[in-house]
Amino acid sequence: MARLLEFEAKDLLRKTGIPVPPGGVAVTPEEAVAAAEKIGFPVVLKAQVPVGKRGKAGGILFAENSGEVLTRARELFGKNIYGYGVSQILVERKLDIAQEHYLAILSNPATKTPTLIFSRHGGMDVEEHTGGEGIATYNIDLLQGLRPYMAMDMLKGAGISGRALPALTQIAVKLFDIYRKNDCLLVEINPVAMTPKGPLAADARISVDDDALFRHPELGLDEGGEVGDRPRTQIEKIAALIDAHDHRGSAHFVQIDPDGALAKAEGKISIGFDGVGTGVSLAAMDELVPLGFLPRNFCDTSGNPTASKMYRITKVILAQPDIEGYVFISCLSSQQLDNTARGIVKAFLEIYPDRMPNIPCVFCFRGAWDETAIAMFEQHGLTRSPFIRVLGRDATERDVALAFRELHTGWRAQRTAGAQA
Amino acid sequence: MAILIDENTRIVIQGMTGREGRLRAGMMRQAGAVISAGVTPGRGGEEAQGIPIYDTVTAARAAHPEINAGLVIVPSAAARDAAIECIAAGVKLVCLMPERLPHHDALEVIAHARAAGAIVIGPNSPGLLSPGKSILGGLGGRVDMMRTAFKEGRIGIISRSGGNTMTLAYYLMKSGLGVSTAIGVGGDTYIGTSWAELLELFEADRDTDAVVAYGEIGGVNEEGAADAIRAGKYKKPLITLIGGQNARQGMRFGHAGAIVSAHSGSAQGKIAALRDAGAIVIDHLDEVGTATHKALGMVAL
Amino acid sequence: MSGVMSFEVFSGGSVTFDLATCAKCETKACVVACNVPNLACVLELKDNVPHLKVTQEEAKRGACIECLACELACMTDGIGGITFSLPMPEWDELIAGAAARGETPGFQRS
Ligand code: SF4
Ligand code: SF4
Repeated sequence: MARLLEFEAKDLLRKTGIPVPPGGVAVTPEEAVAAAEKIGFPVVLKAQVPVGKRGKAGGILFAENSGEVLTRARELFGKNIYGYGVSQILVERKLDIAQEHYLAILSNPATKTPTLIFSRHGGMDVEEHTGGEGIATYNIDLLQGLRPYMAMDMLKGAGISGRALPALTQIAVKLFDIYRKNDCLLVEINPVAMTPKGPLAADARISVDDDALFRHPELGLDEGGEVGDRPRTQIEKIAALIDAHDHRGSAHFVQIDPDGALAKAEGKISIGFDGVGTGVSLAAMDELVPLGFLPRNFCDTSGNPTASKMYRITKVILAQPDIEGYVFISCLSSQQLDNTARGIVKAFLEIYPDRMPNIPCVFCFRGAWDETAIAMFEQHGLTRSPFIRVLGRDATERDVALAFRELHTGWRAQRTAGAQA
Repeated sequence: MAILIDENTRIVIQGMTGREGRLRAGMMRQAGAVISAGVTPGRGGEEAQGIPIYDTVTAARAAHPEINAGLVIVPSAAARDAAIECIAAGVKLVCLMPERLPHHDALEVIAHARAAGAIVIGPNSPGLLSPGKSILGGLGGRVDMMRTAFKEGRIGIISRSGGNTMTLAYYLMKSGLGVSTAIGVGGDTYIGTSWAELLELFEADRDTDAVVAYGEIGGVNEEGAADAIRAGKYKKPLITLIGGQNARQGMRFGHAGAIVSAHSGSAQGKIAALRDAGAIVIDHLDEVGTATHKALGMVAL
Repeated sequence: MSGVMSFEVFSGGSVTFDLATCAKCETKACVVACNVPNLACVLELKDNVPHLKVTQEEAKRGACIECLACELACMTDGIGGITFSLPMPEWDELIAGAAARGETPGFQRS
């Protein structure tokens, strides 16, 4: 999912008529000072990075005067927050908050509807609390939309009364408007600050559906991709380009353990991985991990990708540093596996002109044209290597993992022997 | 019997005149599907593969009132309108194959289906297959491949992955078991029909003895299935495997729906919920045959 | 016969036949491979050398399905007349820069 930065989210709120605190965006410490002086002290400086829990990572600092703004802003610009460098700071007036609430609209997989969520306790983490106590929810029927009375009934039920009731109702209805117009997965105001002048969106989070970005060029968002709360690695960017340059079949590549740290921490061996089908890839990973092999990457090459796409993605997988092997497995597939195999074979022949891979490699082809695929490895001399094994339709996910372990053990033994000699 | 599709299924395909549509229609017919009509706006009156084409689903249904299932294979940007049109024309079963459908579009289609009492499978569904009876979509691929994996039988399959639907059917077949109906529910987070709803249909199907299901990280399908079992809505054996036990939080794995958030969607949580409800959770895909036999044996006793 | 026959492919890349070599080739395995029923069939034999039977534009738009059957067939049964180039400049950069980052790409590790 693609996520707007806080100030971008607040821009959308402001344009829709939801009040936000006065503030300005700065790209240098000096600009931060100028913004603060314009707004008036005290101020809060907030690093603009597309991740949550910034506060915990030191991404939110307060300042009482221009001197403090300068030092704190310098500090923030030098920071790296969960993998993101800070290049923009939002400077806002520090609020005089009487009470904080939580208000959001979320696409809810359980009800298959948008759900309006409210809590009188702001600052909470909705994912920790959905369905919990003190949380009011209302499932919105898309054929009707969110009408003011619906939101008002819900807020009233949650204990809101007086002037706050119509004010929060207004915000909820506008929030739904933003949610719909921008194909959001989540529009969240957390907290809604209840100030003497009425409610304000003190912080906001808006996530947009990657698959709907094509209808929102105005948001200027890139696909959030598949990597979660960290920037894409260089190698993931290369893989994404390969996928984007050719729509024929997919190559979903994501690094599970980009720098191998996880494998090290868990005492596992890092390997390259590719599967035909997400399901079989997950199932095969679940066979490999207990045997001590942690795929450095997840990759799903299904939907009948061209051989050229297979060639390129195979080169990407094999380029990952420190891997001690490579495993390819197809589900029982109607994909033209001979096509798939030709791409892999070309990559191997180019990378290993002597047909002798430096790491153990197991391939399993099951499905349409699987025998042709397997024969190809033989025709091109790839099965002569002791460290290549090609399995066929009757191999199970478990067989593939066990075959890999066997090859890897032999490979290790040979290397140790070589080192001693 | 079977669920959702059988020998009485009469199909309208939206997007039939495209390359993909023609190919799909040909393969479906080889597998025994009866396709009454195709729909492509502006091409009404033409024929494709000997099947009459209409401009709208309503026109198709007027000429072929027997149509009771729709297959949407238009590009994903047009899929929402096509599916809603199909529901509005009175078709009670609609399968959406396109992937990367904006999820608001899926939610809209689902809202329309709810109001009309229609069943939506997908989006991002590989289709449904009742071996020997009918097929809606592309499950199994070419017919010769399909027959190496699927034979007629008494086991239902529910799967979030197209490939694993076939892999499961293949393992079942090797152990001597066939399939009543297999359903690829779709790999997305927001899908029309959940496991719980399908389990209820399988419960009522006299020709299904047990259900095998492939689940994975993300979403709430598996948890919903556990609730359905606990509520007594499904009493036959459910044999499942949950993929992604070693997946890391926050990352998306191929399927849009395969993502673990900080507090939900983990394989461990799903496995615990299913086991607690009395479902059989296997650790290896290839165990599915023996586990199903064992479960049925115990039921027979 | 001399010179080359060459065309571009959809994903970015090109196929080049060295016609002097191909004229000497007895199998013309590339043409045979491209004409296998489940493949694309864009190559034919003309004047005893491989020839593109669709237009350059059609080939680039996807008529050539980049199945690589021609190239792999030439490797086993031909005499090396074909060059199927599928450039990946970003990958080349990644590999070239690995040493500077203190990394060894998996396929180069000792
Ligand atoms: S097989 Fe190779 S050498 Fe022979 S004609 Fe084809 S490209 Fe030329
Ligand atoms: S890549 Fe395939 S389609 Fe293209 S010329 Fe070679 S054999 Fe023919």
